[in-house]
Amino acid sequence: MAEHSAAPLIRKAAWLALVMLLLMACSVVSVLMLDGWLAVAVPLAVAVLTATIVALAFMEVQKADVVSQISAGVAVAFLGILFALTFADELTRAHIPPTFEGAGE
Amino acid sequence: MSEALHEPFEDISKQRSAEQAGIWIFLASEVIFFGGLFLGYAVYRYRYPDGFAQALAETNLTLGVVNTILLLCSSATMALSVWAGHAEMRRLVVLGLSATLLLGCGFLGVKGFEYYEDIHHHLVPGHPEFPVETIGAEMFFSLYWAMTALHGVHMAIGLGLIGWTILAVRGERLAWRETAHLHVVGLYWNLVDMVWIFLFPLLYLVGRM
Repeated sequence: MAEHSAAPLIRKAAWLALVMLLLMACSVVSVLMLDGWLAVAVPLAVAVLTATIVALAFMEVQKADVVSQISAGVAVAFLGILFALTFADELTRAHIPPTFEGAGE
Repeated sequence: MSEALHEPFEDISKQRSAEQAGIWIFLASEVIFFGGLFLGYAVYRYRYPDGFAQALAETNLTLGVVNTILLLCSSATMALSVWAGHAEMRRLVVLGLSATLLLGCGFLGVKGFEYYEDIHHHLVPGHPEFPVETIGAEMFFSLYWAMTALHGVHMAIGLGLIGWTILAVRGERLAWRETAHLHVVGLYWNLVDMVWIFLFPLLYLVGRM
């Protein structure tokens, strides 16, 4: 392939990098300007969105073969199970005191 | 010129599929590995929200932002070299990999400086002069050190791979056109970047006061 076709590839990479940097800027600004749950939700949502761009545009998950896609899917599913089971326990436990009784005596 | 096809494969397309499946299975194990640390972070953050928020305010946001910029750009340059590999543009492959190597080294340099600053400010769990007294703050920094150090080790391995690949592609000692080598290195690097994409908000942003 001729070297002159490098420009579209460089442009594509530059645009995607720019989008991710703008998303990161939104994330930082949201934390500095917003309060409460929005200051938590916006940076996490931006992280998920940026990771999705990396997965689809750079890692090209959608173009991977079936075994690879299953591997990626299983990893995400197990992560979900890990969080679901742990928080099912954590959120339904009786209150745990921050320190053991008698500590420091 | 190196031989592309290796035993036990009889054709290159099957070898490429096996290479790609292998790296994806490895990446899946890495997701679970880092997932355990993220889960630990989530549980302790839920238990000690004040301690985590106060500890997070001690991290250096400016250096965190600089490192995120370096790593996001490195993701793009890594992808560029993989795309260039598909198009068989050797010079662009080497250029993309070299840029990734520089950006990655920059990241580790900044992180090293940040570690120096953290130690200087006694932000080490168990230190007698640890600056935040709220319960949970030391747990935050235990996770901060563990997660960023493990991420740094992964980056160093990635940089070693990239450095070796640059030399091998330049010297035509690697069948980079036929095999999935560039794709495999790219997938590994992009996963390491993805881990940082989540570490950045959790260690520098969420709940910052």
